[in-house]
Amino acid sequence: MNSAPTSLAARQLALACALIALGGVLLGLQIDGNGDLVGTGFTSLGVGAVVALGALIFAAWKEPQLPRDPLTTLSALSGFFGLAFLVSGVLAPGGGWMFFEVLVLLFVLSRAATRREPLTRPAIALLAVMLLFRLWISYQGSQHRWQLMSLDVPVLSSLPFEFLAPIQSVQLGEFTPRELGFPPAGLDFAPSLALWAAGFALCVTGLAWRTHASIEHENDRIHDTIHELPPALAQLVERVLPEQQWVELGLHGLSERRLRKRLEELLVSRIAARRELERALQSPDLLASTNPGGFPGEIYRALTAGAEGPERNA
Amino acid sequence: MGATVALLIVALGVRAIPGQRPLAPQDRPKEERELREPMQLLGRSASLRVAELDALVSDSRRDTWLTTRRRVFELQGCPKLGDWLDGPEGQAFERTLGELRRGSREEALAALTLTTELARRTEWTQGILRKNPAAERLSRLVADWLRAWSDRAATDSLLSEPAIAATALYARATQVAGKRVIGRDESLDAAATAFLAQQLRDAQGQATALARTIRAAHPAALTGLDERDNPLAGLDALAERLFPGLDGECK
Repeated sequence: MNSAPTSLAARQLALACALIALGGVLLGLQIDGNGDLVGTGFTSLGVGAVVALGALIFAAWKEPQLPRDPLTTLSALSGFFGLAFLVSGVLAPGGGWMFFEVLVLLFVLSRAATRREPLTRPAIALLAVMLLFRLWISYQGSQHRWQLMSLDVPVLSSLPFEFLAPIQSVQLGEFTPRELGFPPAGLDFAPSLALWAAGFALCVTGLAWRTHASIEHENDRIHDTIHELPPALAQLVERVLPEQQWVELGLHGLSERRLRKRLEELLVSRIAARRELERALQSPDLLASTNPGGFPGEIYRALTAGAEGPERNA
Repeated sequence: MGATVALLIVALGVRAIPGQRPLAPQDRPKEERELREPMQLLGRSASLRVAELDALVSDSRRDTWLTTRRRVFELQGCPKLGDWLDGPEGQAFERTLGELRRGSREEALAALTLTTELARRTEWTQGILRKNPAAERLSRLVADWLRAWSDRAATDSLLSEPAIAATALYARATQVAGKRVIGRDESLDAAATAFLAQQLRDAQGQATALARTIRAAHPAALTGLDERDNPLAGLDALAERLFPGLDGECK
């Protein structure tokens, strides 16, 4: 009964990691003017790795989790590299834009990582906007236009005098060919766009799926540990500690020994709390404590203890 | 899982794939009988080598080629280009150009050689009233050649440099044709820019082989093509470098 769901979660986790790796391959390539595949270089990947490392350090600060087997090791590596690929894929290729983007991403991804979710929806939206920005810059560069946009100055731009040319338009967000890091033969924008967009989608999908599959995989492991107990006892433990609460109870990511100790502690404290509650519920003092007193209180007491009253008086 | 690890390693490794600087078509290995230094046939001293083309023109066109070549290379007195083209020799010249454009790549080079030499030996300036259509006629002759050959020529070891030169000459002729007493003929500039956009950009707005060849050899030549003011200035400056003094004055 347990083996099928366990293997399914493990397969999902492995597939999610494969998606991330495939996305990383696509984000690391571009097509140059010769029609050849050219790498995007290690500079942007290095910056992406720094951002990913920062975000993951924030996440691991409170609850450090260490991989326990090859699959969770691969998952941890894929999580780190996936974030690094994604960030390096959306960053502006260089200059002041990139520095600003790094700061924003570090802040947003660190906040997302502290919620045990490397990519929240706002973080994905931000990354998508940055990807669009990068694609726009690359498109402009592929057209040999070295600015974000050019705005005509009203009136001045309509005058047919060549000497006014320098002040007839305003260039917004200028950059240089060197900042873009294009291949020596230039960039073939359309296929490169397809590669980067597909790589981005694969990495985001892989990371989201990996988060989900990791939870399932951990749940399977905890489930297996609990089911080492006799079946009736295991069912009782799972009723006291329902699966939906395992993440909040801090059961995920623990080593086997600490998991068992934690289960024991939780079970002891929950059973003790239940017993205490049951004792309190059975005690007559509990109802007395809610009695408002006076005439209504006497009637209330007579009704709740009515069976014993007349006999006691008699 | 092994495949995923391999993919992760590949994802890191592909980033190191270096880009190759494009090898200019004229630098590729040439065939044994291929013409060397074809730009010399478009230069001032083209007359020294133009006879080399005689053997490369097909038999069916050789007679008309020889006749036209002699007429153009022996042209004296700086006639006005428009007047000469309207005469019987000019009409025969245009017919020969058409024939050569439809022929082999050597014949395409021969056509461009004739056009360039004609531009050197005739006057096609605007004149006082700036209404001389000769420069426009010259630009149309070059445009016809570009329309037929720009795609193939850009990657051809024989024709890549002449194709760059033809594009520059087209821009020079259009610049001269568009001059007005005040400002420029914007409709002519717009038509030229639209024509060049067809030759230099594909359907997706990306650079064609010709544009890449021009950029690789002359990085600044196409920079201003998208600007509203004087979009042909970069190519015109290139024309000045490739054809010094070729401005329609027939000095």
